[in-house]
Amino acid sequence: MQREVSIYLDEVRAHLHLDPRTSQRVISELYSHLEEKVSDLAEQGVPEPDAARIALTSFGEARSIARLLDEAHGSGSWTEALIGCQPHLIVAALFATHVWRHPLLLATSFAAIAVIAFLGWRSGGASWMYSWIGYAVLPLLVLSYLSMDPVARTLSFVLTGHGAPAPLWHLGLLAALYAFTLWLLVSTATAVARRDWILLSLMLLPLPVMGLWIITVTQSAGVLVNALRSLEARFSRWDEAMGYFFAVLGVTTALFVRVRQRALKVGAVIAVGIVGSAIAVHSLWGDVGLLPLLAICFCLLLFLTVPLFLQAMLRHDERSEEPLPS
Amino acid sequence: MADTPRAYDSDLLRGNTDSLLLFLINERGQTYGYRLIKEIEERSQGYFRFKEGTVYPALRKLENDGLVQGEWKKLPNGQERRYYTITDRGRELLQKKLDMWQSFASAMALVMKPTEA
Repeated sequence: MQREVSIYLDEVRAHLHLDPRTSQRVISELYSHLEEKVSDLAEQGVPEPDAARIALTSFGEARSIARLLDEAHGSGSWTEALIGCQPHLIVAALFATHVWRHPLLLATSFAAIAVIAFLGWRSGGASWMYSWIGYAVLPLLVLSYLSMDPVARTLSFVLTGHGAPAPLWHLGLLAALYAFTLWLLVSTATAVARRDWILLSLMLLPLPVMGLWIITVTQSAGVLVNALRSLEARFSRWDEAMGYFFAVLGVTTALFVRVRQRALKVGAVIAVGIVGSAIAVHSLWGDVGLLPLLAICFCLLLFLTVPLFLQAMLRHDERSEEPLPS
Repeated sequence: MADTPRAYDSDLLRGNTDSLLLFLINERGQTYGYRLIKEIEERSQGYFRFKEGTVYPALRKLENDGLVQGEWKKLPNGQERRYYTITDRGRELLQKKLDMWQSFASAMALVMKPTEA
């Protein structure tokens, strides 16, 4: 009985997209059911291999049971949906009110987001927290990008002998920042993808447009610090489009948390990720032409589906490692 | 066993699974998934048969909606089993569904009664 049931439950587990603790509890409940069924059949005189086969057949196909369980667990409350969309709405408000140019308010907003993301992470992985995590890692990524100048100068000095390298302590600090950012990003992405790739896509959803906006602003202003210090209208001309984009992400996240059907969740994230980002690109860069726009859409699709491959890789490694309930 | 032809539309059963589960949980006071499946089969004399694994998503939905409450209990043999009890909200909904079902069945019987020539 053990082997057939174990293989079956491994398959159910492989198709579940729940946090590890809930997943283990669900598998325990199914195991308890199957064990009792096999035991009942054995008492009726059915040989054990046949009993396991009958029990599994009457239980239903592993993949469809996993899908139903996912749907049953996958819907959050309206409160969770409201919490889930908040970081997007905060960022939308930062753009809509042009407050992003005030360093103190900007830093306070992102510090608050990071604290809430951390608390959500520690509380065990409710579906609302993934949008918060995406914004929690953002300041480190932006800081890493903005501090690339000394590294570029040093590299240029090493390769061409021109210019002056950055001080060693400066480079040391930057190396520590890059290492920490990379570690945080990889470890968070791995943990989220292990649960469900679409949650990682949801988490990464704001990054492409935010990245393009930062590149556009820094190219326009020289460095972002200049933009932050300046109240010139030219740095605000994208604020309205950015505000709308992040408001749409907020609505998408709320729907994501509320709906049960997985296909709708995946469809919403991919569609908004690609179409919304393409519209935002159009607002930032103007008319880039059809082919470049299609190339950007393709890159966005790749970006949002890379988590799927990451999850497949991780699950392949860990399959059958988790113990069956005792 | 589960593949035997059924004399009813499976959508009809699907639409009433919640009522069946709530009724049995309410009557038993406290029960668990496997026991529920067996009881539905026994009481319906084998008429209602569905894939047994589907009872757990249904129980989870009832739990998420606050209609039942699940609780893990340790058995004498050391294993754990999840038991379900009905909540006040679940009891209220069950009563509504029972009333609705009785009215519906009575109305159906009245309409379906052959008219005298």
